[in-house]
Amino acid sequence: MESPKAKIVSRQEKIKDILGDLGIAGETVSPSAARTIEELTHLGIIKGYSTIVAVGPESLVNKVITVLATQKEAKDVVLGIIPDDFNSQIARKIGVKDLYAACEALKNRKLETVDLCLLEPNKYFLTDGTIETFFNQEIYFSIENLQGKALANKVIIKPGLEVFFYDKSLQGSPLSSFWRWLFGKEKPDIYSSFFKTKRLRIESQNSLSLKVAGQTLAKTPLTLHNRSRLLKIIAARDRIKKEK
Amino acid sequence: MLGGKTTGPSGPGTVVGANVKLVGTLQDASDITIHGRIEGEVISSQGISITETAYIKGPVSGEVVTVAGKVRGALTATSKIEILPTGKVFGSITTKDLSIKSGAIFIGKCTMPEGEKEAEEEKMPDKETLKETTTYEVE
Repeated sequence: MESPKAKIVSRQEKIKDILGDLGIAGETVSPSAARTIEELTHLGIIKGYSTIVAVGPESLVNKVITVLATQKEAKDVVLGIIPDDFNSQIARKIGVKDLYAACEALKNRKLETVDLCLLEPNKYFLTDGTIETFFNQEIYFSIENLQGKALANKVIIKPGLEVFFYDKSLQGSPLSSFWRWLFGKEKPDIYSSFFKTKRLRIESQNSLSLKVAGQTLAKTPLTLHNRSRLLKIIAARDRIKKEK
Repeated sequence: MLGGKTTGPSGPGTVVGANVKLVGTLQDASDITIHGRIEGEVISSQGISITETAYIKGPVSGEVVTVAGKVRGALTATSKIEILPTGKVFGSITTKDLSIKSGAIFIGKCTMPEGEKEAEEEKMPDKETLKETTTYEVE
């Protein structure tokens, strides 16, 4: 049995080995009680590194992104990502399937400029943000020159500020759900909503949490902005080919 | 994009769910599908679909407008307006191609710019007649 700390150390060693084999050298730092991820990223920017690679979960990547997006000196800094979970949204976003593919993507250095979501006052994220409740809630929102009220039990906010409202009414009663399941009939979805915008404000009667990569980032009321093409990230070569 | 000035399509269009109420101007360069309630203007440079559960109080303008719900306001389409059997329109219609299905309700004035041009051309006397008339007057 390997302790979690030992597991992390052995993973770090493995990454160093693969990067070394690929001819990639650089300074490796780890967060500690003395230095947070934000501070380490800031130090990397001050030292003038052209590439900062975030190794770890999505929550860590979003912390690095927030520093890169808020500092003027980081304007030309490129972000590389080695996810810890290759089934995660961030791994799919950069198109890497395993550790070796993630390291090779760093070597190939194919850049992609991505949109980020800014959550006021100063948090940025690259993957989906979710507000979810068990029952439908009245959610008040404003999108540029529109004000609205929606019944929803799930709101998904994607970078580029694409907003999906999912309404539990679609599921219907347990009996009708069972009936549809039995006869394989699908109910037409007239309840879900989709908007694409540059600015979104969400309010609710009960305080609802916005979660990104499983972590609560903030609670309603929330104001979000689309920050178009704000950050350059390193993506897998295949992914860019597919996109084209 | 809502409120955006772009004219090209911007991915999947806006969808307003049945349990959504909006107040203001809904503008999108892509298609708009409305199942809910809107008080204000709806503008798209592509198609607008107003489904059975929808209610719109305000002007609607798009390329092709399909109405199966209820609209209180002017409808304008650059290509076509279609009012389906469940559709109810209380307001003026401006389009060059109109289809109203049996069962639909339409109360208002309809203007078809291309048809009006044709009607005006029919009213105008042709050149020969005009010449003859002139000669007759001189004599």
